[in-house]
Amino acid sequence: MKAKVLRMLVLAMALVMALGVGLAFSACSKADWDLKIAVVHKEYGQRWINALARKFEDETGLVVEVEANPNLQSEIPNRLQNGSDDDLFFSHGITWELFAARGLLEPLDDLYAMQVSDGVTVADKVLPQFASASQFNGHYYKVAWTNGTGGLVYNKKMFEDRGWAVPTVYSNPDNPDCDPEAGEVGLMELCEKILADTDGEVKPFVWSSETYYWDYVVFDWWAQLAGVDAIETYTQLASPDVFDPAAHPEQKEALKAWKNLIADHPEYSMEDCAGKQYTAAQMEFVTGKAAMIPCAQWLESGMTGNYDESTCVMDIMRTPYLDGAKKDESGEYIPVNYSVGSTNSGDSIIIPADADHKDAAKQFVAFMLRDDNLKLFSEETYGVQLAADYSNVTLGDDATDFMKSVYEINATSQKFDLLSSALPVLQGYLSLDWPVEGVQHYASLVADPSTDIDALYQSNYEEIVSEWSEWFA
Amino acid sequence: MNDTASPRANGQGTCAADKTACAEGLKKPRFKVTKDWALWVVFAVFFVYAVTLVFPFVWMLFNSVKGNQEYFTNIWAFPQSFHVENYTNVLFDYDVHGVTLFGMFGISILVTLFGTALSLLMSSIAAYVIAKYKFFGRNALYALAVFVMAVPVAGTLPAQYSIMQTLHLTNSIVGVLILYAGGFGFNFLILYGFFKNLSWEYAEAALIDGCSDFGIFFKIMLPMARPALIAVGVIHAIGLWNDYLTPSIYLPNTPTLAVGVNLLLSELRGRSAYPEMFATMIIALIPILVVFICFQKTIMENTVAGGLKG
Amino acid sequence: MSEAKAAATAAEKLQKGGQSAENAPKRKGLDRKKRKAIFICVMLAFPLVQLFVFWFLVNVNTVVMSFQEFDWLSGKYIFNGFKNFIRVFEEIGGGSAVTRRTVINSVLYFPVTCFISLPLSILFSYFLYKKVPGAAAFRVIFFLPSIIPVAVLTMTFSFSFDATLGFVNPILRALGVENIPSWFGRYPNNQIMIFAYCIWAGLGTNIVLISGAISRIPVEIMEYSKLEGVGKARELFQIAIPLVWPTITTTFILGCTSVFTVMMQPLMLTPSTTDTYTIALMIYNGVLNGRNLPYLSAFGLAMSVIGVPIILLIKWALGKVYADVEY
Repeated sequence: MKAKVLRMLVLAMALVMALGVGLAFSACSKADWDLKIAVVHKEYGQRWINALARKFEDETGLVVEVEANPNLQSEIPNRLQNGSDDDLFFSHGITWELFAARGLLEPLDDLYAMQVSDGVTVADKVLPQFASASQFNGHYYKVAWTNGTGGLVYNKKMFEDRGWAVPTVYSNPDNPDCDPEAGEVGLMELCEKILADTDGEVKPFVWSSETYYWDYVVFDWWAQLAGVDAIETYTQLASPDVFDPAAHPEQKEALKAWKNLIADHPEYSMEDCAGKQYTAAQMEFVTGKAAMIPCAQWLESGMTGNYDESTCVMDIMRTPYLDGAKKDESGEYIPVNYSVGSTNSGDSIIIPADADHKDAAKQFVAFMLRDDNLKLFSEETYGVQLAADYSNVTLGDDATDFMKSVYEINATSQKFDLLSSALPVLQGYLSLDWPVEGVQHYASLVADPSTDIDALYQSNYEEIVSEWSEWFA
Repeated sequence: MNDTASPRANGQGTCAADKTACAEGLKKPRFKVTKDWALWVVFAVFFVYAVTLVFPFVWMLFNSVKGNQEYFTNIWAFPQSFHVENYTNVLFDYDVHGVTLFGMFGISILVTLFGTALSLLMSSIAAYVIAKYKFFGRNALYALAVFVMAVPVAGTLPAQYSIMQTLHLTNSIVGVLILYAGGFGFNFLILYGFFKNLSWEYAEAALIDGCSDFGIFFKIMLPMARPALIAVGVIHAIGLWNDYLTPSIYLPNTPTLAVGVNLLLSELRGRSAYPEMFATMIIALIPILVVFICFQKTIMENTVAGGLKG
Repeated sequence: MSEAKAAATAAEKLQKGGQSAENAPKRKGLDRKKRKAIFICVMLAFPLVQLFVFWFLVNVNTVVMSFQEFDWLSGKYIFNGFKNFIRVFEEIGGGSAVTRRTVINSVLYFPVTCFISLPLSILFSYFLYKKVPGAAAFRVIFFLPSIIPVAVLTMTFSFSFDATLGFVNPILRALGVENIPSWFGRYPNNQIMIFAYCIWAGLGTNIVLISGAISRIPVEIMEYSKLEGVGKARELFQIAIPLVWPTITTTFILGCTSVFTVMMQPLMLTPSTTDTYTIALMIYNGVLNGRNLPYLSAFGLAMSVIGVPIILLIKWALGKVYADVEY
């Protein structure tokens, strides 16, 4: 009896196997395309690349093959070194400077000179700070892929139902800087109001052990205090003095503001957020347990259709201004926004030096930067933007509030990033987001709010000074 | 195999079938009471542990039939509605490079069966020779095996790929099988431990009868090693079945189940479609579970009958 | 110990225990020796060639690279002597808090796997062999964690301990526990939780291996001991364990190598902290980011060069505990 069952099982498996192998071979067709694009398959999904590829095919008559691969990032070094049939890569974390130095990448100077539309070149279309960060040894080797927007995502439905105004300034109650007359709303006051209005049932914040989402808020505060030019200077690493906390206390002050909001006010956050998985934090947010969550542009697209819109409608706010944020001549705060995903090498588009269809690949990149395709990309990714000039693009009527806010923040802020091609960064000695080693302090500040942030920055600075000459040797 | 094994097991008498009862028959009754008491305590511990292990599985099963919103609302609740379409969607509507889940099953079975067989053969050869024969460099080979296990390799993939390319083994199942056919590693260490305490007396007798060393290995030692081979083989086969890295690089056009499922899962996770994600996992899991339950019987019967004196 | 040896000797007597190939009377003289040599060569040929090509040749790259650095001007890797290795030891010595903690965390996997997980698996295996009620079902269930995807296991594990979504904290509160800690939110709690997870989910594989070995012990030996009136504890420690000692040794050695190999558990349970880094995870993340491959090569190599002799020493010492018994 048992043997019979086993035999049946083996037979069934053999059948499935035969079927599978047959199918596999029938599916295994020869490479007959005019352009092969490999895309990392993560937050942005693959709808955008399929849509763009089909449109490109329709316009040019070329056949485009798309590979959406979740593990592309780790395979790119291998594919570049040993050759592959890829013509164009889209991925996070490509160490493109390294590949460029080794001669594995196609120089893209001619691409930057190509026309996107009448009289507009790729160089015109790519946002300037991204273009300058795409050069190595005087040549372009990459095109920046996305221009990410992060910050505090809030439950718009809840805010409207409860009559809470979206905060515009940080405003520490101990040192109020909030001017209600001028329509300013303080973030900390809002937190108190949320707790009072809901009897503590709803917490102002939920966040997760993937604490780096707080970077999107804290870096904005840093740039508000320092100005984007100072951050640009910082990334150039002219001397170790850019890390001197006495001369440049802005990152330190931004972190202190975070500590005050989160570590010193545990009641503002749900219990034990530092130990929460990201998915768990998302769930608490969409089920209305918390009013705000630090995140970025992909939150809504990632969760579309998965939550009850009578409980939660998402929107993203401009990071509230910190006391002392820079103002322009007319006394208005200068809006700044960190480009999410732009530490280290950032999101990149590259062409392998030995690609078979380089011209088609370049043609595709230029095509992608055309206004109608910028719009298509954003629509297919629910609001994510390419690192390009969107000033001539208007979103369609079906855009969500969240998409509109992302667009608005991107369009009206001074964007900044922490990209750097300085040697210690390329060699992995130094991280510019959280020097020295790229270790974030959020979880440890929550665990021990008595940590002396000043001493921390001072000792980091001393370490950098002592290592500096060796790094640049 | 089962048919021959079972009568022998029974042939060992009631003692083999129920050693406890048999031994107790000869002992004082007091012993029996304490013993049963101890066993029930152990049972309680096992039971609690088992519950914690079954729990994730049941949790995944329940959540695999929920709707997305239901899942997000309460991950612990019993499903309120049954979304069978989570399963049918995954089975029939998705494919990778034109290969559906069924096709991936086929490729995976092929790769797993042959990969496990080859690897078991190679590691038992290496383990047997090094455990049982004294020759120059044998200790060094053992040390090497440990070294192979312990070295955390940094970025060797490009080097491996270029060797595979030189040998024209990329994009081929043969290439993957050769990569899998390593004789040193986890299997080697386990089988080495096994052969180390396997009796040499049969070999002795066979040598006297004029049997060759090859004959001894293939006709006597390998069959005697069956329980160990099955135990190691099951673990190894599961490892191969779940292997992502190797087939994803060397079999890009013929996705195995692990590769295909991984692509599907990442797509589903990207859309936060957790219930469909769990459904995919369950579908990928069921064949392993079935095979394991089948082999579990084989292991039991083999080991009861496998004693040398039996 | 002496009693254990006595039991082992008893077993040996029962089995007319083994002699190794060397001790066998050399009936055919030189001829036998030659044939033996041919046998060894033929049998080891493929495994050694495979190892040479797909391990040695592949890793030559790693070894060579560990003595190099990338020169950004020429775009080539150039020889830099022991610079990478010196940096490895400087960092462990205190130059880098992350590296130092990484090594400490990794080393701690040794006691956790060898002195907690392994003894538990031996105990579990023994009682499975002793036919605890439902042993067959337990055996299947204990193996579940080996086949359920790590992603699901870690997800349920961490959801269970979530402060607001989970059910562990409410149960503890109901039991009157106050000041429930943050399970995953701070070091060393998160590291301890990862160890707990490894023990919880890792027993299965060990149980399959060890209970396979125990059930191969000839029934007669166990019965013999029973007739002698040996109690459970003595039966376990003086008969079962000595008889499956080589398997235990091997599992122990595998436990030692986990110092170098553990990676998935911290990656899945604590995805974005360096607090719970292990050697393998640090290398994995480093390779993924493509930063300073030569340094990572040197790091992995240095760890192994220190670790492997220690592991071999342990193996040698374990081999001295009980005489090899063949049956």
